[in-house]
Amino acid sequence: MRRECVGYKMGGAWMLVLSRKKDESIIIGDDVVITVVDIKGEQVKIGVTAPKSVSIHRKEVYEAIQKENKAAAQANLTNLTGLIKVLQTQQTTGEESPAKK
Amino acid sequence: MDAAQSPQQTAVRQFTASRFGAIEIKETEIIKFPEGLLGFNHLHEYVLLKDPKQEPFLWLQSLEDPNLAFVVVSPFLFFPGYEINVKAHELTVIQLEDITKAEILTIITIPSDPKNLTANLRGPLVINSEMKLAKQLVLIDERYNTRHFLLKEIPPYLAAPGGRDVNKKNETADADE
Repeated sequence: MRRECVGYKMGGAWMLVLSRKKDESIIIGDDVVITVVDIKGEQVKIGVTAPKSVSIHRKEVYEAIQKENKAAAQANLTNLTGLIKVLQTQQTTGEESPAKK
Repeated sequence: MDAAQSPQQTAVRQFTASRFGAIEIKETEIIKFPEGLLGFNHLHEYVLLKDPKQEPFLWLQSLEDPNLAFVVVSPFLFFPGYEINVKAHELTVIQLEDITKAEILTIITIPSDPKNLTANLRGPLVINSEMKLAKQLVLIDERYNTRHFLLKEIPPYLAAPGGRDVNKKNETADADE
């Protein structure tokens, strides 16, 4: 633990908090470098260089998939034959369907 | 359900799933997710349950939580242009070198109005069928999100029963109950 840095408790884990200016970086381990590329109002552009083996994603995407998995697990059905029939009917009657996002 | 076929010489596991009751699973049918599914990272063993009457949908049943099962389907049936771009290193955990050899499935969410069922195209499941290893990918591709409506994408063979022509073995499948 780097005691000289400010820490915040975030969801059970301590989060290290550092102040950086534009074009300044932090390094994580030996090979992950995070650079503040630009700051405009509330938006910060961040650059990440990391080995190919490191996957980088926006956290929201992970969270969205987590959330969706949990929603999908809530299905109360045990048999989809009824649903398949409904789909067939919908298709043949050409009923208005929700717009694909 | 197909997973509950004759035991033969392979080891068989008895399992009681809350939706499907007692089922027999051959050890060779068990699919391992070394990293789990997102949000269910502590669960690693699943089995795909197939029922001709429910085609093209399958059930991905957890073997560690009897209550946990997902409806899954091949995304290509509903979204023919669907593409997965993935880096090779993301597949090492399932010992897969070539994604074209993988079985791809997408998890379906069935809301209170089941007609509005959606497919999660952002987090597809990639299965190395040979090794029985699988993983949920997180795609970078911004074209896809976690909720794509299926209703507009019904494959023609489903809309016109009798004309079914998919890569499924159950030609005798009858869509009617």
